[in-house]
Amino acid sequence: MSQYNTPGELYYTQDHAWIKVEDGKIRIGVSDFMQKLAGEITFIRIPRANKSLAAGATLCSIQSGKWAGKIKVPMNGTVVEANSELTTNPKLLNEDCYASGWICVMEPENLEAGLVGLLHGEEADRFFTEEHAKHSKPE
Amino acid sequence: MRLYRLGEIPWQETQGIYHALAELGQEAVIICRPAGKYVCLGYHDDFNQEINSEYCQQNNIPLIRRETGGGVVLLDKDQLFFQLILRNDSPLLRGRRDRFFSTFLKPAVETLRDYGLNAAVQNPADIVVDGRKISGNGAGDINGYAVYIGNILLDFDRRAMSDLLKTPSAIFREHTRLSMERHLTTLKEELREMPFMADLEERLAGHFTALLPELKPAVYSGELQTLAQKTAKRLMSPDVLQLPGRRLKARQVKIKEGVFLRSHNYRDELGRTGTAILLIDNNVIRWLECSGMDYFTSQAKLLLSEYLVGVTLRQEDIRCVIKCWQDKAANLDLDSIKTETLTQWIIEGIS
Repeated sequence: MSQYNTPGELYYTQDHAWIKVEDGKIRIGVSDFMQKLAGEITFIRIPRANKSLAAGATLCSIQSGKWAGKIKVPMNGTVVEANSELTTNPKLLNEDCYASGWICVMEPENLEAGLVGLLHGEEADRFFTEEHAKHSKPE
Repeated sequence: MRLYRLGEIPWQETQGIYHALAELGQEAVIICRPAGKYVCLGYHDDFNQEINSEYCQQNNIPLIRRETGGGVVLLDKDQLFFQLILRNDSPLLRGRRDRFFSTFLKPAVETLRDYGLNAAVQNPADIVVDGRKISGNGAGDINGYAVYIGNILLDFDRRAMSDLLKTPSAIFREHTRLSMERHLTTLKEELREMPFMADLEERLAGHFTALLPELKPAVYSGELQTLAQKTAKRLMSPDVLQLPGRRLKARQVKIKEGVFLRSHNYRDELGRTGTAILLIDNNVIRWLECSGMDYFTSQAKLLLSEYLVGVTLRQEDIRCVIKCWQDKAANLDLDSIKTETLTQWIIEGIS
């Protein structure tokens, strides 16, 4: 989609997180669509390293204006690394969401099974197109 | 969509109810008020930075954290709450989440206008009457549902509000109270009498029904009440209250949209320390007071305040004014301090 940067090699969740597979682990961040929808993100509560989390639990939460949003854990696994830079510089989530604005790295319990439920390729394109249409309708 | 008109309920349930309904996946509007006084932290408030826990303990004021945005608030029976739970894919929600506040706040604005008040939304999420805040609001994602919450102040204890906040000094606390006196208002103050709560609730419910015609009255079942209490208990637990929150370099209290009271510490090359208290209104310094800086003469401090009031809190603007101050006050022994040090102090404080 031209309105949003949605790198084709990434996987996406329905709540607009991106997932990158790296040597059996997954790196997670917020998509360009989400950071634009959120507006200026002023705070993120990042997940703790070494914490085991179930799919669907809250991975992290973000603040933009008076809105407190959440991002869910995309698949069962353990957080192995979190981007502590975001604590003091949450602007990275807006300015560089696919690179220095990454949120955490997880070691999944079962990567292959976890990827099945995610959006990828044409399916992700369709999803973002629909989301864009929904959110750009006149109020 | 269900309409719960609950009247006065145990204070914990006024927070537990909307979390519980979102967990249950029910779209609803709730109108209620708490039977007692309590403090509610926003989802990302930092407990240790924000709360004067000694004061809360001594005054038996309980604490809870909500999963929506906005800051620390003192809530009590003289406030009427309105809460809305929507599916995330609700056709009512378009674009950025903060844009929906103007729609969500319409019923409360109309209610205040029914009383002849000049009420309006101050973006993104305050309701003001002639520029003074009368309603605070927040929103968040709970279980994949979009939840919007707000209140109308019938009366408000500004002294208790300023006392329950952790402040760097008694002077800062007093200025917090004074700023709230200036920038906040209540129905009691506007009408010069307390309105009838039943009438207020009726009008608010009517305006919500006009906005959402599909609303149908619903009963607060024992099952739902139990779930609301259970949810509130979780939100009051030490683990939730102590969740890490947003920490700022300088102590800052938001008075209303765009208006902040800030305390900026000072430390110069000579090791001297002090503090400036600033009132910032839409990024412009409206008021400034230096404390504990007796190494500056009274004349120099007065001159600094005169120079800075009305100036935008922007690096280049502040640097320019500080330079002028140093030039003007050259005979006051200020030239030994770097302009950059003084500029940083005014912009964000020096730890």
